[in-house]
Amino acid sequence: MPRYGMVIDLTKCVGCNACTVACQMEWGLEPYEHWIRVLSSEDGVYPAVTRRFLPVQCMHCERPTCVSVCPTGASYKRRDGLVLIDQARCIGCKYCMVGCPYQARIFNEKIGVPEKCRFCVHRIAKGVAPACVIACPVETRTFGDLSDPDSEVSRLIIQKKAAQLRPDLGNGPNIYYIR
Amino acid sequence: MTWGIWIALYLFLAGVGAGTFITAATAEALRRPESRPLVRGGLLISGPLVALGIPCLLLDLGAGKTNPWRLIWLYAGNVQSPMLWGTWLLTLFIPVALLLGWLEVDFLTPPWRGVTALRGMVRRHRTLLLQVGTLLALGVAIYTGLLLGVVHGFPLWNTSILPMLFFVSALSTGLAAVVVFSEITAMTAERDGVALARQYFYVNQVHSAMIITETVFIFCWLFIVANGSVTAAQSVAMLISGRYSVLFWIGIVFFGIVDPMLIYIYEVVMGKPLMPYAVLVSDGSVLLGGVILRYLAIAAALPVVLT
Repeated sequence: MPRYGMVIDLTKCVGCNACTVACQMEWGLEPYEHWIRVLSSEDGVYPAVTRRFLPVQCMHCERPTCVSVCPTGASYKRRDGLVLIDQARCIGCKYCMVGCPYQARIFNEKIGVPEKCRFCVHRIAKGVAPACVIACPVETRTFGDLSDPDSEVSRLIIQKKAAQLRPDLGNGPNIYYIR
Repeated sequence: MTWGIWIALYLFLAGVGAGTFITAATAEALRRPESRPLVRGGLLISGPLVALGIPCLLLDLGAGKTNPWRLIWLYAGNVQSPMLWGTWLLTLFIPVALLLGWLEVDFLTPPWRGVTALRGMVRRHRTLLLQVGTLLALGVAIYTGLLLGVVHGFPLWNTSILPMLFFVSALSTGLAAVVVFSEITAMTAERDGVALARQYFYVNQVHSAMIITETVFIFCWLFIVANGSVTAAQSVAMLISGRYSVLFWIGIVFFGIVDPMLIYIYEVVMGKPLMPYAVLVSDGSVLLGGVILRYLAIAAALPVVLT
């Protein structure tokens, strides 16, 4: 069974938000709906300062809080690692949104259900990489199978010492960042 | 703020309703004639108070409002979720509390055979229902804190003292609600309000102990959280010196703690009521502090930093 994950190379990211927009295009989101948020922070001491970017989205955690707190079982984790939402079961109590430490979920007011990154489940089923991976102009993103030691993501994690975001939170996120 | 005023109001109503039931059951266990108004008052308002919280929960829902049949999953979706435990606790507690409250009134009993039979059955099993109801009330009072406490993305909530604080606050606001209710009904029925007020002296001593415990819990809660991560400290700073400081110092500290404590201390030391109906001021003040505590616990929670 694969365990899907992603590696994001922050040394390449220029904060252009192409991933956010590609995701919105792929899923037909409203302009204010962001499944990928590109956070930014400043680093260094004047005059040697840098602006750093950090794209954050659903981490498809190994131990997802959204799934453990969801009362109805609408939030679930697939065997291939994807965390998804069964919209026909969800009552919109927003416990998952409150529970997610990565604040990856946003509320869709039209259907009354929270939504988030789905790792482009329909694309990867056809063997095509998620929209954000294809759209990134500087190729920061690599998608693949973390359970396969020979996959590119696994290789990048070892070679570039990619690390999870806030692993101390204990969720076991499946997105790794190269810093 | 994903959860807002409706959830805060619900947390308060569930707490206060469970607290009134525990007050009534404790007063019943004392088996003294003067504690009878507390039993009656508590059983009368407990069920309606918790039931009033349900519309608050429903108003906050998304798809559950338009697709109510999906609410069935709340009972069997995911047993790990504190919200599922809460659903069961509320579903069992509210009917028990309402049935016991029904015994306290003469109306609402149409002379139909089924109704009188049910009333007789409730009366026969009153003690059992009180015991079961007390256990359920303890569950309701504690689970509201667990609901927030398990969320590790908000350091202000993710501490084991929060459910304890909500529990003590539920006991205290529950007692206050019963006292206010029985005082008001005594007033309107033109019964001897002073005699009732005198009886509250004993209650006031118990209530003082609860408020002191609550104060210690609030202090420990904020002190420990303030020494945690950056956002944890920011949450506490928002409460004590930032955006919510006016609500915190006036709402929680003054109305929730100082005002009722001063009145209780005066009455216990002097051995007489501060003024007629002083309990309405002190205990009404406790209730106000309880709502604001729930609201601020939700409003001041900042998520962990990711950058």
